[in-house]
Amino acid sequence: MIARSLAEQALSRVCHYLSAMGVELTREVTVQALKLVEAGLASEQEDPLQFVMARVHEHFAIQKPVLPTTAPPITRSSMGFSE
Amino acid sequence: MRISEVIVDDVQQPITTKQQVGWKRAASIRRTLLTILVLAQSVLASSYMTAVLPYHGGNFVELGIITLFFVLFAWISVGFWMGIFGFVIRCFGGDRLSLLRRHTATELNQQPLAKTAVVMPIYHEPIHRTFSGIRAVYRSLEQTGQIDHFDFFILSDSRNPNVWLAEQAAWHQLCQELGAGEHLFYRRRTLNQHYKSGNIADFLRRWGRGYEYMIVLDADSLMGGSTLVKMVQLMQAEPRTGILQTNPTLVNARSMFARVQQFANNMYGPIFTTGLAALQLGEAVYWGHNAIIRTRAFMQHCSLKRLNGPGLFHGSILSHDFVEAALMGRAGHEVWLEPDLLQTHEESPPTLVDDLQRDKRWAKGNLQHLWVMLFEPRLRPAHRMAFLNGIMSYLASPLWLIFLLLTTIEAARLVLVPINYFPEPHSLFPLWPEWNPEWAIVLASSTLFLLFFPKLLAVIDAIRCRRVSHHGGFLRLIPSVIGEILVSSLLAPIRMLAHSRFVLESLLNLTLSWAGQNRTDETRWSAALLHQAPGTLLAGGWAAFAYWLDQMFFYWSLPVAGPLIFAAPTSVFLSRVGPGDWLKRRKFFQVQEERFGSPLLDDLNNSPHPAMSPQGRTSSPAVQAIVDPVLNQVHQAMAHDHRGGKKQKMILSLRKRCFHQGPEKLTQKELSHLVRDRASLHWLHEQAWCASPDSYWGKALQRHFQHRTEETIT
Repeated sequence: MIARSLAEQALSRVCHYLSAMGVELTREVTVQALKLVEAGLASEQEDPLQFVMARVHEHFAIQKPVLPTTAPPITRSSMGFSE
Repeated sequence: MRISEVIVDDVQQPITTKQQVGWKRAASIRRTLLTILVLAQSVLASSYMTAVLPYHGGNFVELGIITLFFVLFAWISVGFWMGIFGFVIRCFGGDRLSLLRRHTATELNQQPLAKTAVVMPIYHEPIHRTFSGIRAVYRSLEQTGQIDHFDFFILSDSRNPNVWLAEQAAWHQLCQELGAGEHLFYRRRTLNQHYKSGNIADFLRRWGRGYEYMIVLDADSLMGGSTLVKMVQLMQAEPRTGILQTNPTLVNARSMFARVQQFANNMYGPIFTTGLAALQLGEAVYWGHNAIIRTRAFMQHCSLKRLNGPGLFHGSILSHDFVEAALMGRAGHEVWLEPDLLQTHEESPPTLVDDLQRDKRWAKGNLQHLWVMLFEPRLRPAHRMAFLNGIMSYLASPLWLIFLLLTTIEAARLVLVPINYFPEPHSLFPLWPEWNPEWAIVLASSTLFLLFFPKLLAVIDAIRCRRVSHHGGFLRLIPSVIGEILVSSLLAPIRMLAHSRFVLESLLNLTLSWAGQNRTDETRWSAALLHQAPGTLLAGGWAAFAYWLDQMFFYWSLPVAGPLIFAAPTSVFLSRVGPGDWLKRRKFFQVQEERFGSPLLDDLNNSPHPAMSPQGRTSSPAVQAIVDPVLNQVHQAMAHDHRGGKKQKMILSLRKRCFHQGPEKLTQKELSHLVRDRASLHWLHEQAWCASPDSYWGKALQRHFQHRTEETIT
């Protein structure tokens, strides 16, 4: 297996993250992802992976997933021991 | 609170007295008839036994034999007459007093539905089967167009974080798939007090007020939507009914053991259940699942107190269902078993080992009922009898064992001890021992008749109701019945010995380990040999002693000793799926759902959910909870915030360990603390996605990506 470069790793993470969050990987989105990775590689203070993942929400319109309601509102009452 | 007040408070529409008086009078007549028949038959058989014994009950051993014989014969007589009652009632077109026969379909359909909760308490259940079952029930209910009246609650008591994280993920996936976000809920208790009944009570305290009815399902339950709707309609039409129990039939069996149980349940079930329902009428029992409950009445009257007796009779009640039915009855509500409600199913344990494991719990739970039966005030006599029936289900085994022991002593005395012709001192007349083996054969034959004649009636019932084709036609039905009788005869002594041990353990309040617990679908040879070794050695020793003692006695011992000697191969063979599938293809031990198909079963079996099954996972649920962005948010939404203090310090330290070493290096308790903390889930998720490719989380992410890519391709 060919070892992947850091740039590939970073791009892979961004793309997988976007895909998992329901963002369609269009040409524009991919180009934007490449630009983010490029900025990450250019950054000298920060690790490129940390750089891209820290900024992924700023660069893309990621919708929060709609989660189902875990439980309805509690309507508390008690159990009786009536005889 | 007086009972009358409770009824006025709970029952909105008083039922006509005529109907209630009708079933109560019928119940009295039927139960009296059963008692007379059972007692008469048992007295007659016991007097015959007295005549068979050499000294005709003239010593303590013989008196013991006769007493035990009376109890055991009465016990099997109850089953015999129940089968006869059921057969006769079915010949006359069913019980006219049953709830379902009181109303026409049109009347029922006119009943407005009320808000109903379908609850499924789970505890470390197989996730794929459990959630596929809920999906099948949900979809079936959706097809009735009445889904808006029902809410589903998965009530988890699971302790292992990898199990409950997988449950939460499966719940989310199911909500997405079914679009059931507003009707399918998940709740996990962090403190699981009082087992299943505590779980249900916890649900009722939180949400019970919002639901008129509650339908309880087990993890392996399967019910049709139209049945659920009909149950609600029946409860609406019968406001005095507190619990309506259906008769679940076994389905989905694959191993030999499960297929034989399934066939017996489907083949003989109709006559026995009809007989049971006809005797119980409005004083039936609750079996803990596949039943509908009037929520308000249940909450008012059915809370379980802890037992305050000694040893076994102290603490939480393990088998809650019978007790809840009895409390419901005490409060003036009726409890009905309705055998004619169809599309209600459950599954058999796949192996004998699993079956006995379940019996071990049930034995303890049923024996605890002795305390309730004796000391709980104002319970209905029918419910006290139901407790006795449950207790005898397990107590009959040690009684049988003692009976065998006494007969061995009697045989040994006859051979080894010189005959005493003058047992009474100063008597002028000798007492001659008389031994009539041919009478013993007649007595044994009558016992076999009691056991097997109802099975013959069940076959006649199947022919009469044109159900023979359900079981593969006459040419396959008869070998299947013979096969079932053979297997049940092989299993009876194994169960007897195991139940005797469970009863002893329960009475001594001991928890002895039961070696070789089976965790897979098939029993391994090593586990079977270890598990069955005590019984095999005991039976081998007994048979050898019998052979040494007297050849005739040896032959009498074989029906019990033989199956115990061969218990290990029996257990292994019956656990095998291969022979079960082979017989299924050839339509032996076939049941209706296999013959005609079932949309419910098709839905259950034909919609694989890769993420729910262990095979579909590339990493543990804990790893997925951290790396998967959506799942991480699901788990965060169900987690808690911790405010600081010692616990917060501990959690911070766990976070770091989990990040550096992975969740596998944490104990179950530590992992549980960690993934219940919202901030930790969030922090670990962020850190994992920034982790170096060579680190634990970098590799975990890589596996996750590969799995997602494969999923997308497929």
